[in-house]
Amino acid sequence: MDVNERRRMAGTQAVEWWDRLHNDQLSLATRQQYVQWLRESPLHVAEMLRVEKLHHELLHFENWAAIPGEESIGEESPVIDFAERMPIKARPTPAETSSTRRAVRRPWVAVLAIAASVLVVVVTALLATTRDQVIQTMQADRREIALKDGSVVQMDPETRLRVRLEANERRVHIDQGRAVFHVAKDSTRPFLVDAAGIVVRAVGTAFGVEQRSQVVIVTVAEGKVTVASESASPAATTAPMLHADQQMVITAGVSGPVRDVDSTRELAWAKGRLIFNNQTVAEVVPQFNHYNRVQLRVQAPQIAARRISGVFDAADPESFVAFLEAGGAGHAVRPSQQSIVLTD
Amino acid sequence: MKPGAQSRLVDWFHQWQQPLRRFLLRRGTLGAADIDDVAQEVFLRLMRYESGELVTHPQAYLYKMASNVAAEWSIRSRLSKPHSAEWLDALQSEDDPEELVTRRQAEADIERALNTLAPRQRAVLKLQFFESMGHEEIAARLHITPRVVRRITMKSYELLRAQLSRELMGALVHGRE
Repeated sequence: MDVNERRRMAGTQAVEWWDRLHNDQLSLATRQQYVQWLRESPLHVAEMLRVEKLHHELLHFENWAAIPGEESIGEESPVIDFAERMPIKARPTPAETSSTRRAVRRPWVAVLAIAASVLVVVVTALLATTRDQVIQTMQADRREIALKDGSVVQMDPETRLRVRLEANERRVHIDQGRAVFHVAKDSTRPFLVDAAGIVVRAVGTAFGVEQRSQVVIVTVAEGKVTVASESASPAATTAPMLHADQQMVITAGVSGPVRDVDSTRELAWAKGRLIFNNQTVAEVVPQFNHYNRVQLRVQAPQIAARRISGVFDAADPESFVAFLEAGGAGHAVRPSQQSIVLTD
Repeated sequence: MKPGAQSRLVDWFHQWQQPLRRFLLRRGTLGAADIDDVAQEVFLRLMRYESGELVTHPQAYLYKMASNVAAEWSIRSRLSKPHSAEWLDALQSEDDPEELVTRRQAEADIERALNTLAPRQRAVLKLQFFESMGHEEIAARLHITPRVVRRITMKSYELLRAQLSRELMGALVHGRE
C-alpha cells in the first residue's frame, strides 16, 4: 500500500471516528479503542486534525447562500468525469511528452469522479430550480471534464462554468475565465457557450472561449461556430460564422473583425503550454503565476523589460527561471517554498 | 462522570479549542503541510500520557496537545520570548493581513470543493451548517433516515478532505509523509 493509499485509509477512519465522537456517547472501551488508534501512527493524528480543520472551515464558511441546496437534488449531473491536472514539479521536457506525463492519475481521483456523479433521486415538492452544474477551478488548477454527451471541456485556472444538458440543447455559461470545448457531434441538439451576453453555437467542433469582464474572445480550432448576441432574435440576419483558425474579439457586445490566427498557438494554454512571441518578462510572469502555486516576482526593472520568445510548460516556472538565468538576465532568490524572486 | 466534572471538562475543552481553531484556520505562516509536523509531535506526546488520563476525554487532550505544539512553534517562528500571557496574545492576534488573504482563499477553496459534491451531499451539509438542522430534522426534510444523513455527512467530509488536500499532495510529491 503506497503512502497515498495509507493516508486515504487513515482519512476514512478519522472521519468515522470523528462522527462517533461528535454524535454518540462512547463507552470507556470505545474511547480506549480510539486512543489506541491515535497511537498507531502520526498519520492517524494528522488525519484527525484535518477533519477538525475541515469542520471548522465549514462552520466558518460564509457563502452558503451561493451553494445549491435541496432544490438541486434530482437534477442529473451533466458531468461524468473530473480529471484533475495538477502542476508537477519542474523538469525540462520535450513539448510532445507533456500531455502523456499528465496522464498519471492518483487512484482517489477516479473514486472521487464516480462518487461525484449523481444517482437519480426522485424527490417531490422541489422548489425552483438551480439546474446548472457549477464547476469552478482555482488558481493553478487546470481541469479537464467529460460531459455525458461525450464532449470534453478543458478548463483554465480561475474559471467558473455552469453546465446544463437538456433534450434540445447543450449549454455552458462562462461566469469568468476560459475553456476549450471539444464538442461531440449531436445534430439533435446544438452546443451553446454563452459569456457576457455573447452566444457561441457549435455542432461538432473544437473551439476556445475566453471571458474577461466585458471582453469575449472566440477562437476556433476545428469545425465552425456562429457567434451571436444573446439578445438577438432567432430570426435575425445570420450571425458571423468562424471557421478553423479564425478568431473574433467582442468587446462590450461589439464584435471585432474575424481574424485569421494560428489556433494551436492561441489555444496552447488549454494544453498547459505558454507561447510567447517577443513579449516582456513583465507580461510573461503573471501568466506563469496564473498556473502555479509557486509565484514569480521580478525585482529588477531591466529584467522586467527584457523580451523573450519561446514555448514553455505553464506548470514549470523553474525551467523558465533557469532559461532567464542562463541568458544572463539575472538570478533567482527563493525566500520561501511558494515564491521565486528574479533579481539582478 | 459527575455533572459538575462534565461541565468543567467541556469548558476546558472549549478553552483549548479556540487557540487550536486559529492554528487550524491559519494557512499563512504555518502551511497545511505543517499539520503533519504538529501531528508528529502530538503523536510523541500522546505516548507519554497514561491511557487512563486520555480516555476520559480524548478529543480535549488531543486539542490541548496540538494547541500547545502550535503555540510553541508559533512563538519560535515569531522570535518572541515565551511568556505566559504573551503567547496567548500572539495566537489571538486577528489583525494579521496575511491571515485575511489566506482566509479568503480558504473560503474560495471550500466553495469550489462544495460544488464538486453531489446535490444530495451538498444539501445535507447546507442544512446542517446554514440552517443549523440536526440529523433528525434533515432526515425528515429529505425523506431519508438519520442514519443515512450521518453516512452522507461522513462521505462528504471524506470527499471534501480529498479535494482540499492539494497542498498536502504537493508535499507528498516532494517526499514528506
